[in-house]
Amino acid sequence: MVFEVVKRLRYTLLSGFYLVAILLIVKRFGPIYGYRIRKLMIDLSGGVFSPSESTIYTLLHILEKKNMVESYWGLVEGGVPRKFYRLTKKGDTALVEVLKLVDSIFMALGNMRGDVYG
Amino acid sequence: MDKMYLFVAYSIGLIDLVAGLICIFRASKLKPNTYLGFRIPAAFLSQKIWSRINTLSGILGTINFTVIIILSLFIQSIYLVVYAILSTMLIISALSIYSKRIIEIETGREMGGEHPVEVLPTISVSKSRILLGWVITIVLLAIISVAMSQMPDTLAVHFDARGHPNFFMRRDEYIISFISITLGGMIMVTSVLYSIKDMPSLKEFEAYNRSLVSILQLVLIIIPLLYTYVYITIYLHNVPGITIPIIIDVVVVLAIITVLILFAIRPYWLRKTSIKK
Repeated sequence: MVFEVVKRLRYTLLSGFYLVAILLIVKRFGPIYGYRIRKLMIDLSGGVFSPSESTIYTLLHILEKKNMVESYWGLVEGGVPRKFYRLTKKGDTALVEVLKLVDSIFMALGNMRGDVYG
Repeated sequence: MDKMYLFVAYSIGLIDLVAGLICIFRASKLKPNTYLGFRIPAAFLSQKIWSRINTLSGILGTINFTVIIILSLFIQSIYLVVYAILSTMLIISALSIYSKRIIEIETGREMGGEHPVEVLPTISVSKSRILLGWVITIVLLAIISVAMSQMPDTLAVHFDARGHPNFFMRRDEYIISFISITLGGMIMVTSVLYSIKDMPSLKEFEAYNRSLVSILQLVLIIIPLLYTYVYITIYLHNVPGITIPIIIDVVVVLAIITVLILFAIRPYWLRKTSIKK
């Protein structure tokens, strides 16, 4: 029962951070395609973030509709076509604001936590 | 009359079966090409998608043939023909939309480089032409709903070369099958165009892709126009008793075929393009 609640809480918490993680990876490694975003997300987070492929593409399409990222189809070595994403100016500005928010959330939680389970 | 319906439905089912078997056992094993298989732009982008779409289309075609055979044991009316046509249209629509949904995931998984070396052009589709096609369809449906009550219970729906009716149908059967096939055709072409929109186009398939978009956009307008002509012809014969001379039918059909051929070959010899660079 407790594990069920933790599982659900974990899902809720993480899914909020997936968008931030995607924006960060696109900013750092873009232009980049969905499959590699997911791979980098898993690798760089040490497995903490492990969204499904469909989650990544759904979030990318949401970000694209909101003009945070833009996409184009490109051909890579080996003749494989892939859809690449890069951050827009709007996405860049939003990312700066979101990162400030994330920092303030962690600071607020740290203040509330104090020495509990320290 | 029942035998004719069975013959038409079996013929459609047989086409599904033969095309399906060719897709499974031949086309799916070929490289993406413009001469054999389920040839939509998304399938040209990867061998894996090409093989999967062709295998799936073959399986669905074979299943549809079996369903038509089973249904024919219980239904021997025009509705069997309507089912055969609509289900075939539905398979084409579903496969087209499915290909659009998997294309990004599958190309992402393919082995290859991580950085773009070339930007690919994408296929654009005219929204205004789709809208025009649907406006004409709505006008056609309005004409049908207004004129339907004036029609007699039994309609002459086919005529010989001298303009004498040689095939009759009940009014409700005619209207239901007419509307469902018109709407089915429109939905099929619209969904295929939707699946093609913004798809990347590889150089070797550029002319074919342009030709396909060109034809489909035209078909979307021709379907409701042709059906409006057919409906008006049948209305005029059955209500005021005016029979359109066969020569006009021939001219209309020849004009449509000519325009379709011109639109099909146009991208091969014109520089004007529907591919966005």
